[in-house]
Order: sequence, then C-alpha cells, then structure tokens
Amino acid sequence: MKKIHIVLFITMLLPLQACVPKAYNYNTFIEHHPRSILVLPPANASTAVEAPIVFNTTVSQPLAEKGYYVFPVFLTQEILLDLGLTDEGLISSTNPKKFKEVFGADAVLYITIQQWTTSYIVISSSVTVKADFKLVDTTTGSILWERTHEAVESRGGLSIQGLVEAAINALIVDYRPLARKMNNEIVLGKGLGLLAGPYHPDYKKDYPINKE
Amino acid sequence: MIRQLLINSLLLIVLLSLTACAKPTMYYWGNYEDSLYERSLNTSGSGQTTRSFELLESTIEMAEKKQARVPPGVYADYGYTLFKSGRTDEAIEALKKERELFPESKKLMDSMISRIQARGK
Repeated sequence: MKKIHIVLFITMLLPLQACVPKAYNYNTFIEHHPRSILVLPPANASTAVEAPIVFNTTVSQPLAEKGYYVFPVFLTQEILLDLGLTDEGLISSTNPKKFKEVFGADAVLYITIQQWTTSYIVISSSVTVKADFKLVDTTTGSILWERTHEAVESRGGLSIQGLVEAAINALIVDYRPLARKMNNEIVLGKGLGLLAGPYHPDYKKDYPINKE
Repeated sequence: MIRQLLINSLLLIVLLSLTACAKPTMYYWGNYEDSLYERSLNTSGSGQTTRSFELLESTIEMAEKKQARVPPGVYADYGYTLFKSGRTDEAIEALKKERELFPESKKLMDSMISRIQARGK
C-alpha cells in the first residue's frame, strides 16, 4: 500500500517538471545584453482603438522589475513627436541607431497588439489579447528577443454575481488588468521571457547552458 | 490514507507556489501606474493632468519617506512635468536624481538639462 502512495505522490509532481516549453535561443541576447530598453508606442492591429495607449502604461513595471532601465513612456512619445515620428509606420521604419543617438538606449522594444477581442458565452465573457514583442539591439539592429503571447481574462459564471460581472465586463472596458497580465506573462515566462537585467539579483546568473 | 496524503501534497504544493509568488518588488511603485493611466485617458496635449501629477508626486514622496527605491523613469517624468510647469530649478534637480540613480539615463538627462538651462537664460 505504501509504495502506491509514493508512486502517486511522485506522479502528481512529475507534470510540474514536464511543463517546460521549447526554450528561446538567447545567444544573440547574451552577446548584446542591453542595460536599457526604450519602449516604443505599440502598433495596433486590433479593433480596440484605445488599447495600445493603456497597454503602454502597464509595460514599464515588469521590464523594470526584471532589472532593466526603462525610459518613461510618455516622455518617449513626446520626444518621438518632436523628431517627427508621428505614426507607427514612421517609427518602425526608423533605423534603431537613431534611438541610441537620441535616448542612449541599448535596445528598443517594438510591440504589436494583434488582437483584442471580447467573447460572450451566455453567462460569462472573456477578453483575449494577443501581442508580439520584439527587442532589437540599437547598435547592430539585430533581434535580441521576440515572442508572441496570448493572455485571457474571464468574468462571469454560474451565479447572479457572475451574470452581473459578465454584463459589467462587457460595458465598462478597463484594459488594464488584462494588459498587466499580458505584460507580466510575456516578460517573465520561463525559458521564453527576458533574461534578468543589470539591476536584478540574477543578472548573468540565469544564462541558459546550451547543451550540444 | 491515500486521500490524506494527496490532500497534504496538494496543500504543500499550493503553499510553496504561493510563497514563490509573494516576492517583494525591487522598486516602490505606489501610484505611478495610476498616474500613467490617468494621462492615457487625457488625450489632449502631453496628457499630464492635475490628478495624474498628484499621483506621480505622491509616489515619489512616499518612496522617499520609506527610503524605498524609486523606479526607472519616475524622477525623469516628474522633472519633465516640472519643466513644463515653469518650475525649472526643481525640474533640473529631479532630472539629476534620475541620472544619479540610473546611469543609463545619462545621455537623455544631460541633453534635457542643457536644453532647459539654455531656455532659461
């Protein structure tokens, strides 16, 4: 009887170990490990018009907490406007070297919000956001890191409170909780997120050992 | 017997994952994100409203009082807003604080400070 308990116990823990997704190849990242990141205003390929600007207000915290110096987002926007970079097309076609020249940034983060949709399923609603992130080295223009991620927030359920929540969720759109979730998940994901930055205690200690 | 063991294991795993999540943040964020959100709602001009500025300022005041670390960009944001309000001396002081805390900001802070000083003369 006891052996079965032990086997069951171990079997329960095994799935936790096995959940390791295919890891990102961080070689280029490590070669040009940036100290500072300039977050550019996100491009919007979704139908939610106000989403990008709100999204931008929740991206600094996860990046800073991961140990990077992050330039303040609104100041960045103003300087970009001063430079005549008034739309996403102009921004994305600008040579990254320009951002090193003006801001002194080691890397630039390009964000594209691909999707921001709400779906209603009778008694609950859920909002899904899908975005892709691309971190580029300003000196060489090489891609240090990129990732596409999807995050979901659900409201509602089998109760009066749930029904009310679902209705409220549909009417009042506060993009923040989902934006926060998205930005945290994409930056912190194990094996796929960012490596620790210079202000983080794990800086250079979390470099993956590439096995041949 | 099995059930007890499984329940205990489950509780242990939940507890362990909770403690792993309860990591304190490196910086004191206070009302900063709320101040950014306020600005995002204000689509005219630079976006800083009285309320968003109060949220920003209170974040800095609390962090300084607690002797906690002010996050990247906060003093810079504060300095820039002070400059726009005509409070140039305080603006330069804030930008210098940013530069001191985060050497990565030196290039930008230096160019902003010299532009402010040039305008002042």
